[in-house]
Amino acid sequence: MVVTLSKDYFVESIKKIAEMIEKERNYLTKLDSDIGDGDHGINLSIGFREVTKRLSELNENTEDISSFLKKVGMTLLGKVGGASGPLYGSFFMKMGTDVKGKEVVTFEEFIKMIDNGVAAVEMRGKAQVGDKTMIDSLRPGADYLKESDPNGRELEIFKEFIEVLKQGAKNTDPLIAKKGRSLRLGERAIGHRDPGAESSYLIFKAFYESFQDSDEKNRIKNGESMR
Amino acid sequence: MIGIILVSHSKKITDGIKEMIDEMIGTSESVKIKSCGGTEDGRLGTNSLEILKCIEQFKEAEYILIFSDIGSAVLSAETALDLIEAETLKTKIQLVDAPLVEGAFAAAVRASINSSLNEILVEVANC
Repeated sequence: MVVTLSKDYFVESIKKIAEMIEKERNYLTKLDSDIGDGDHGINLSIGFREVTKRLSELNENTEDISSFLKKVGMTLLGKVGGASGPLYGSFFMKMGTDVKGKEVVTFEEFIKMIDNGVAAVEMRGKAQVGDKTMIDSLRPGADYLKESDPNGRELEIFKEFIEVLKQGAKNTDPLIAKKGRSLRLGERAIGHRDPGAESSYLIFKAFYESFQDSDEKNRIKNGESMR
Repeated sequence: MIGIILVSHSKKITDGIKEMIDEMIGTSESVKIKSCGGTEDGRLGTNSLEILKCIEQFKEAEYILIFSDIGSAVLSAETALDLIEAETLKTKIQLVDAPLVEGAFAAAVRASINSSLNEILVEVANC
């Protein structure tokens, strides 16, 4: 059976991301206070609150996954304020470039969507792995997915992908920053996690949880026993 | 006419620079300044959609120069550029890599005496 992801999946994932951001707002802001300007959690919360407020409108007024994600990205661009606005904004806007017109995508297409989104963040932020940015979790994660063979193991692969992102975020702890506000802190940044790398992990964790939910629903629908 | 857009996390910064420049160039028809600092709800931050709006308001300009200060001011300006659909408008825009206050000031004063784009950019590069 080919695993597919519907537009509803993406709408549900955005909802989950917004809930997660509310929950983790103070934690992300604390990370950013340590080595940045202390607004990461607050900025993302303002952005995703606006997305939540407009979610049904964004869903109803778009025909396909690509244009829905584009609208989410545009909303973030207009609201977030900090660097995460253009970075996550570009991420969601570019995620759907290859699946225009589709209301359903396969897991393989989903992997390509993630890679396109990550490439957009790389292009916008001009960052590489090791620079102590969100790319430290996103790039290894996207590469892991690309090299995987998800056929029939989608849920597991997705879980492993989340672990790679988590580890990537952890890997920023001992680094000196080469991008962003913490750039000029030099060695003072050592021992602190990059807030963007951590929020990238948490965003995909929400995508994963939403995938678990939809997988479970599919199994029940298909009369399979739950795992 | 040359359009100059000022981008910073702080609206006080871009409003202040605009005030300084306007005092120097008066009501020059050959250069116009737009202050595009802060978020629309008055926080510190930048907004690509607002920058895009400023760019579109300058669509009659011969050139549009964008000056930004630090961090996401640059990212937001670049993102705004990506959002422009009309190619002719896109080719008019230059993201200028220069100190925000000195660069924008030098460019505006030069533009007010009808200098060419090249002359303006040379002046800016000397800031």
